[in-house]
Amino acid sequence: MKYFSLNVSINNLVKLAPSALSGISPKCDDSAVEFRGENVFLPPNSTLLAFGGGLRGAGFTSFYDLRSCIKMPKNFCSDTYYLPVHKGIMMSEKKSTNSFSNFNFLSILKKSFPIALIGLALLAINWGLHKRLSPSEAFDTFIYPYEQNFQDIEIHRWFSQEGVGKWTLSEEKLHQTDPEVVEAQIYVSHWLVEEQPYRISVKIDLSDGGQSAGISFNAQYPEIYTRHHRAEVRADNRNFELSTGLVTEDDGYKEQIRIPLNSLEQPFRLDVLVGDEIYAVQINGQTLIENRPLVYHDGLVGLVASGGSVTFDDLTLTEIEDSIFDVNLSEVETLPREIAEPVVGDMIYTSNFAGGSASNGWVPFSGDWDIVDGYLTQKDPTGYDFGIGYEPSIFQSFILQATFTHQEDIGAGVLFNMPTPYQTNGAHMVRYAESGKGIFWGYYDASGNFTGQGHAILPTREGTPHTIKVLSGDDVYTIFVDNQQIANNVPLVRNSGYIGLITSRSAAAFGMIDITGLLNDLWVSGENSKISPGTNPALTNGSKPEFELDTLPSSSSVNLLGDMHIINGDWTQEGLAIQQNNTDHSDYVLSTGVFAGVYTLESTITLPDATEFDDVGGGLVFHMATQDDHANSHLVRLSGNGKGVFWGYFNEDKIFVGQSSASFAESAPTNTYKVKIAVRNNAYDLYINDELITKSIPLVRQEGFIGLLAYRGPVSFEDIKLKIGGVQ
Amino acid sequence: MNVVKEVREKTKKYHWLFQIVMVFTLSRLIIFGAAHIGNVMLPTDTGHWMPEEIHPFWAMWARWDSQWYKWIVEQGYWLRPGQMSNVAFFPMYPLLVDILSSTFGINIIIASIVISNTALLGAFLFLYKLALLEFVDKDSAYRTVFYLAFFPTSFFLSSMYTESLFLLCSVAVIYFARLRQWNLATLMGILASATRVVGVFTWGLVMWEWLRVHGWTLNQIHSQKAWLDLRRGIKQDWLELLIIGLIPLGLLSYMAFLKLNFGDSIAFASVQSAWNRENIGPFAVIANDLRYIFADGFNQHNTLSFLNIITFVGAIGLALGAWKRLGAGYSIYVLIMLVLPASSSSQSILRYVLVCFPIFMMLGEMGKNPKVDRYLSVGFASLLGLMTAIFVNWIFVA
Repeated sequence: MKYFSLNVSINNLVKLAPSALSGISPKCDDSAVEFRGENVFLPPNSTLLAFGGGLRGAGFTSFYDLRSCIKMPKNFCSDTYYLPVHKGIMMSEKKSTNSFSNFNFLSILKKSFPIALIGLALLAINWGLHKRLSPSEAFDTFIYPYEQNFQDIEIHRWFSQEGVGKWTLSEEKLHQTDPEVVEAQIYVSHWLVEEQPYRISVKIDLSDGGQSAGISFNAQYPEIYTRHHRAEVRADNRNFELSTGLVTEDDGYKEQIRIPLNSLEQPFRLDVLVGDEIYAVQINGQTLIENRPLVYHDGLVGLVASGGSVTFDDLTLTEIEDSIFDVNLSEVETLPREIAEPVVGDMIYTSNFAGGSASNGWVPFSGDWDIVDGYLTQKDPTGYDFGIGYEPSIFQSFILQATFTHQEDIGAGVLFNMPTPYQTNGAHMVRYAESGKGIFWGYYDASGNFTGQGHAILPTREGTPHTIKVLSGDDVYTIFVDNQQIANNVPLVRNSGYIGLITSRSAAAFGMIDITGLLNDLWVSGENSKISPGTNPALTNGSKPEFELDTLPSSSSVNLLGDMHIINGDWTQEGLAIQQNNTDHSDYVLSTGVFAGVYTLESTITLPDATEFDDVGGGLVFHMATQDDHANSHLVRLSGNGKGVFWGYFNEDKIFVGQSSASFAESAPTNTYKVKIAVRNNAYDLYINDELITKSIPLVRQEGFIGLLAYRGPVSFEDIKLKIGGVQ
Repeated sequence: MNVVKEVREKTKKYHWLFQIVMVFTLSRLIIFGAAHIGNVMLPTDTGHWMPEEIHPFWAMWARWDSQWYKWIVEQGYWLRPGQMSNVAFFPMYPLLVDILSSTFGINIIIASIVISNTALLGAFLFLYKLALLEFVDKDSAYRTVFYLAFFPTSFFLSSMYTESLFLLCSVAVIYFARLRQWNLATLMGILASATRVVGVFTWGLVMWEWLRVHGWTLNQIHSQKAWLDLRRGIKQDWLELLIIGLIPLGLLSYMAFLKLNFGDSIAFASVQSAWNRENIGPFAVIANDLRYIFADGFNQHNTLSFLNIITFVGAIGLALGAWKRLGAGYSIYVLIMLVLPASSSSQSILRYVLVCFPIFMMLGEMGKNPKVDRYLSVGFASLLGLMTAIFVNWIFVA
């Protein structure tokens, strides 16, 4: 564009009288005017008249000193100012100032200076940011192994959301104490080592009303609260479930898998093994979930808790090899010793198939499986070997117990140590024969051909409930059917894998599946011995353990109660029997006054008929810390007037923590049972009427006072015998 | 006599400078005096952070958010996800404080006071020139500065806050843009956008002015000629456009720094939730505040809310008035500067309004009316002393 220069100086400006412009058609055209320095430029063809309209724009009103301007009437050109001009206007052609041909060194320098200033300012800002204001407390990367026992920690340096949750330290533990909070999260202010598989492990206690607690991992900084993986245990009364999932910004928590966990002992240890592309979750060292895909990688790790009071302790991070995920996690012993200690006997999976999540993780691979009235039911009786696998986890060294009822024809059973939950190939199986005359067991090879390992004649018929229990060790397995041992030391061709259920030419409803952990060195007596044919005195060739029982010193005396201490209840001596007579629904305890650690104890217990007093039970309480109460003691007790037996222990608040239970056959001949326990250093075996019910029940307390316990009454205890020592 | 007359004549053109320096000095004396008296004689609210090892006369200028700038200078930036973090505060001000403090070995808070007041004096000078440019009236320009200097919360302009630096940058941006000195406008725009996130809006202002100069205005948006002129302008002055486009680099530099160090280029926005800021719109904010006022009466919190609402409404009114008197650019700028923060809370409007200089320009012109001038002068000056005394005693003002 070419400009004409109006060589006007501010000092030379004169007013242009309004009358001078009268009759002139206004042109309110802003663009007609361009100011450069003290010059005013007009486009070619502009006239003074056009120029007159130009000093007011939509954005700003005016510029330069316009004191000598005159203001025209509003009706002339709405509120327009006019720049007065000198009489002697000199108009000369002037090239655009942007014309490069017009540049000389000085003008370039002059023009460059402000641009240089801009560059300098930008340099200064960035230099200042990176050299003067860069983070001085950039958080470090984890150095593995990382161990946090919450003794000496600046918790405020960890990351938690403002106003969400209340995180405190006390007694060398980390607590979340806000009872109303949902998903309070706290993160360790360290980066995970990039592309390094790791294990994060923490001890969690939900016993003080906590609703859920778990681990957040691979949290994506800085959106750590909204982008991470999570594994958490949720508590509903005394029912627990393990849930893993993914938190995204858009959808919040998206659950990937959920597993019911009944009777989870508190505290428990939660482990997450995080690889390059997948992760696995363990509780108390038992792998319950694995092969879950990772969406997020690296980042931060943290803890998450909801409701009540949740306690965290012993947080550790260790590096692992990614190759660990190439094999079954359950086959790899990577747990620190201290982690493995409390796992024995814990219920690691249980489901009664009631509730909305009952079928989570169960994957049918043939047949017509469905949840019907709280039972996992295979409804098609026409086909052979219809199966369903439990997908989330692999088990090793476990007790599998399945309760079921044949609804149409016979042929139900269990699968275990399956290489994959999606087929029977390679799996062990125990099931009823289609003939209804017995039960058989064996394994499928990789091609699906079945090899039998044994059978037993156990006639059954439709509608009769049965329980198959398989104890799978390192090399062999043992089978109980309806609490009757029918085989032992059967060689395993595979000692870990998935579990499943199976029916053949029959329809059956499975009501309860339990899996209990079993640590190998407690599987049999003796130091570090592994289960193998002929080494287990309880199982070898079907023989029963032989104990030489002595009577309790006081049991033969006239005054049986003389050396005993009644903690509560109405205890009397009836001949050579001791009887608890209070019929209220409560536990009544009598201490014998005997303190022991390794021993065998038995008593014959008689319960009333249920028609007279229902829900009566009696049993042995042992390893009481004092003779004054039964806190921190173990209990084996008959229940329901003799319908079954259960065992477990009382915690310090005398709240009973169940470890497991067994039901007796419905046609029990009498209400009298001989209950016997053989107690070793850290576990004990339970016998009812000299039949082994279960072995190696873990002890949480190794010694203490021995006593009797009655639930309601009347309950009679006779032939109380104790042999100190001698148990292997 | 002739000599005196001669000197007077020679210094006449600097008379305005003397006037502005006097306004600055007088207003600061009042503020420092009121602050000192308030600090010594009135009880101080306890339980707050206290600047260490510094005389209370200086320490009283570091209150509330000042701590964040102090932390930035002392520790650098940090981000704690989900928690209040100092990345929410922009770097220009703490950077200048840091340079001054480390260069001369003076206390951070004293350095910040020096920076704030120096910037304030500069802002006053630019504001005077800008107002003069717009009003062609020295008295209106002078009053513009006067009202700002004595505005009830103008003590923030001397405190360890970014207000004065941002005011300097933003006024200078407009001033240079009005003079068509695009390079200098860009330079100040970059500094503004590195001082506060809203500083990036000065880019819009400069662009607006550039468009206007090249024949494109809102009024002529449907005119073919306006678009043709604009096309011609772009073709001819593309270099200017390119330079103006550099204004957001202040903000972008900070965003790059955040991305590099924390992996979140908008961390300054991400952490806002920790301050419980939720955008619900200014009307909802005002409605909430009024509900509390009607429910609980004029307690300390509600009184402050009321003052903020009054200020907000008044400022919006003046901004709309500026649309006609000063042009849409000024008006839109004020609306953005006020509505954005007011969308989440009315809290601190009394402080945010300080950088909305077009409002004070409007007041400056309204002050032509002697009554208005008298009321504003007396009212502002009285409240300034009171507010200053409140502020230094750790009672939240804005």
